[in-house]
Amino acid sequence: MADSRRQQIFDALETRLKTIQVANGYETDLGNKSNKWRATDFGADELPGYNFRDPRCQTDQHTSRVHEHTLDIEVVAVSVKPDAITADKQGRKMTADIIKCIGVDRTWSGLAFDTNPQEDTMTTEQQDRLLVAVQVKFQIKYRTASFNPYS
Amino acid sequence: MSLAADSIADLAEVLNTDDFGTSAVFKALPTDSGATITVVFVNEFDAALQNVNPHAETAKPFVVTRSTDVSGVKHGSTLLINTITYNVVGIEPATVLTTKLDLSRQ
Repeated sequence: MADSRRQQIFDALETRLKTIQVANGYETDLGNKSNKWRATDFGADELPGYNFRDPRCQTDQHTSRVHEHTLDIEVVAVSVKPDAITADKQGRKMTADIIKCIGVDRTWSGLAFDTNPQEDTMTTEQQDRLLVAVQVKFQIKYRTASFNPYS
Repeated sequence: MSLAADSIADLAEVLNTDDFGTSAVFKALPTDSGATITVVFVNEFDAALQNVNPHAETAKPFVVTRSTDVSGVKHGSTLLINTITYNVVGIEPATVLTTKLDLSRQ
């Protein structure tokens, strides 16, 4: 059996986020350190890196035969302050890269009918190194046949 | 011997480099020539960024030293410890005799 549409969307998201590289026209190389549903902390040698999750999905009965789903996506990116720029500037670069990446194709090659941004947040913390983290949330909207996640 | 004298003697033992002490070069200002002092250096593990998930593994270095050795310390003062230069990012008077300095490499 083919993967569910949600799984296909999540896989497409993983593939897309990995393209965040300077060589592809982005400001950071976040895509080189991809993690999904990571359950352990980032190690010092894994930064900059990101983790993404699909923690919630709201489903409505669109018509008698169609379910409309709103899938919440969260991307958390963490970086040590680079030598050349401030931590907050690095945070805005990571946020901008993620948002730009999401907008490349809002339908995820036809798997969804729209993708909309939600909130983003940024935080810094001074430890042995100065760390910056951003969280970007967005929603992917897609439809399936009623009670058929594989359609 | 008075209690104060005992405390000073105890602190000297703790800071002895044969015990818990480590040599460090302290500069209150970047233009200072630097003074060699002894500190108790702790570089303990910490999980940073608790408000996001996952967190980031890091260290939270600090020293405890004689307050009189770091008079004039301010945020941005430096300590050279084991070839690494740390900036002072936190100043906490710990006891009558000692001061705790939070450190960062950036």
